[in-house]
Amino acid sequence: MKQEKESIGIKIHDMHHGLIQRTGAIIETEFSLLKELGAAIQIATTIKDHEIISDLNPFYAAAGELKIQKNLAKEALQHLEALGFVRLRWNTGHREIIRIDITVPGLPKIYKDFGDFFVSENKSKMASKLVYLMEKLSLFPHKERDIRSQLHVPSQIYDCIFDIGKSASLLDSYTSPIDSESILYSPLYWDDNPAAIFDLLKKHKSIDLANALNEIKQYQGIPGDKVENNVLLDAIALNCFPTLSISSTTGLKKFVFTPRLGVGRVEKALLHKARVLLSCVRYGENFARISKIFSPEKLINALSGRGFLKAHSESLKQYESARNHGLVKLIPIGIDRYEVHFIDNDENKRVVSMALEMIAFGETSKYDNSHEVAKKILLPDNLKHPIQTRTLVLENEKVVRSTSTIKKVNDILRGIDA
Amino acid sequence: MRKGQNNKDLELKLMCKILFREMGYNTHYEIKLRTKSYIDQIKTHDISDIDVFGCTFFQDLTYHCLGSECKSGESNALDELYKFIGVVDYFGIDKGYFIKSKIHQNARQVSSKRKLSCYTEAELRKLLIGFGYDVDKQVKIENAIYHRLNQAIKSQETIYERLVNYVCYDFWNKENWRNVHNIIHLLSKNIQQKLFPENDLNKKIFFFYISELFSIATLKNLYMSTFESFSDIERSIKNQLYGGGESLSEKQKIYDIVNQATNQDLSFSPPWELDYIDMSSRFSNNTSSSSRIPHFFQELREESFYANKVQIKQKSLKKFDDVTRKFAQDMLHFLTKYTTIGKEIFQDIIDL
Repeated sequence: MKQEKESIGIKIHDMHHGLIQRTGAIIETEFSLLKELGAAIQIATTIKDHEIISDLNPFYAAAGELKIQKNLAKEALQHLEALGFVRLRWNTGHREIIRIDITVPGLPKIYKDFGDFFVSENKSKMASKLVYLMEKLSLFPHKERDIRSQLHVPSQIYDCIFDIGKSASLLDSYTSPIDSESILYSPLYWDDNPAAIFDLLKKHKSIDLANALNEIKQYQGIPGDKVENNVLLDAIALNCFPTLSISSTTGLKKFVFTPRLGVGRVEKALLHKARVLLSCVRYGENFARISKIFSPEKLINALSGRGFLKAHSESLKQYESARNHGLVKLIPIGIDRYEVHFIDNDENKRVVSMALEMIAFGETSKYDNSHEVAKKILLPDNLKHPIQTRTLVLENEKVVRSTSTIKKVNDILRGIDA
Repeated sequence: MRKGQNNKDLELKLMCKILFREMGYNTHYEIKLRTKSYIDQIKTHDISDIDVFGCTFFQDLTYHCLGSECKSGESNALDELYKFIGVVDYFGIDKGYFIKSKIHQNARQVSSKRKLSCYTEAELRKLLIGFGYDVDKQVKIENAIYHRLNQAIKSQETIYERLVNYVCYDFWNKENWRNVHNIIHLLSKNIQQKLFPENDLNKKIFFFYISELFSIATLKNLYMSTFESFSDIERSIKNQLYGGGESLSEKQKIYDIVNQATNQDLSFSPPWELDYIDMSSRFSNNTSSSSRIPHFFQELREESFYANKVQIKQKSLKKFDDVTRKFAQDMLHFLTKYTTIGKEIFQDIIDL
């Protein structure tokens, strides 16, 4: 039952969206640490681009938008302080926080440290089993009897976990019309009947499928040509996994992803676009004829950060799908070379971060729109993107124009071009 | 720092320091320029020194430095100027100031060609009065600050011999990226732990001074990193931490070969590297605030130490924005986390 620390951190973050809506005797006792850590991760990811919060009202307002109450936000901040992600300054009497100095690191460290913290601090068996269960169900829905046998807990504890999970919209079940088996799934990750997966489970054991899926998680967008695992080959043949095709100089190639499709129209669309972007990059990484991509992560960062990728003869075909999904523009340079320009908007930025999460962790954290709203509330007047700051600094340096420049400008204004 | 000898040019140096500080520069006295000689046997030689050295980082982290030669005599101005021109070139000083009790016209003529500024004592005094200083009073204050720092460094010589030698000599002569590694290394290895540590003020002043130097080294590194690649700043910070991308790659190759030969799997990066990159990357997001960190440390070191207590005044803090204060604290937290300096040394700043 060994889980990766990062993956535990992601699951805690995902479960936060369900747990935060609920309260009750068991949630406030057995799952209190899980709830606090979920809130702490949500706050950490919201405030991580800031340096200081000296007015706590907007902070509590932002937390409120994230459905995190003031007291829970305070507890979450104390967990963040214990991990060294923030430094808190209290008023005399230690009742109210008056300033937050933020030192939140990058996402991988946030998830890893919180995963680690949960493993070492958690004393509730129910909470650790729920995390394990969510890990399983994030891959694909399972037969309930398989899950019961894998959890190794008495049935009364299982029932308790299921009740809490269901009340917090983390778990649900339905009866399969094919074999009348009870199927357990997580509404956080699935909202459609994964019939194809159950066709596959007729041929293979769920544990084998889970292992095969972990293989894809290690390398999301694995090229179809490189798949050798029988379970995966059958899965691709039965159309269980999202498989995207890209055609460029070395012909049509397929890229395979884990089967999670997302919940709701927005999340589904974003996940699909993230897979499209990653497939385009994976093509360049695995099949490019000239100058292969060595680090997909850096390439995607350069595309979104710098705004463009330098001209390349294979770009037109390789990034055609990304263009068709409104992610990039392809600008011709010379005869047959194309620069790839990122279309910078909120949706595409989210797609990029999902693609980067897929590369880094093999999965994406739950899409949550309230996160963006909370970030906007917290946005201080003086927060600027680094490039904006540099531009502003340069703009502030006064340039004294010579008389001839001023004359030239005047001439241009008057229409003289000789 | 000049140790235990008659410092007859001191008043000029103090006045020059007031001027540099007024110009917005972080100031240091008597920087020794050293070189190694390989004739007969390897020896270190002092070539010369810079009497007052000023450095600053502009809002976009561009580095700029000043240096001055302060001489109290009335003759040989031209010879001394020629020597100073050599020092300015050798040390890569952006702007030199030649200050002497009396400067002949021929020396002024030469200095104007080399874009050096010349001031006699009277001219410097007039300039400072123009800035609104009560010069004699301010010189007395600066004198006290100067001796306080010298005394603090001297008092730590027996305890932290290598560290004192490093900050007095090597820091100014080595490639900048080495300073980051060396300061962390010296702070980690050469601090003698006592069962009941004494936190006397001299020790605090000494470590405040080291923090100031560490902040200069870090910002210089960041300045080079922003040049290399601003869009992939974390990568370029790492490159600059090892003297550039090519140098890093070379070091990693050698390290791998050694690992293979010794059949070990040791990590190339020191344990502090990730946090250092993360901290520097935060600084790069707010360059105007981070550029003021060395000034923050210097202000607190010079204005907060009394005979037997440390009192950080609001007047000093108000000169800096809150993000600068936070960045300085980040740096102190980093140093106390990865070295053996106790947090109590910096408690006065950490508690702000």
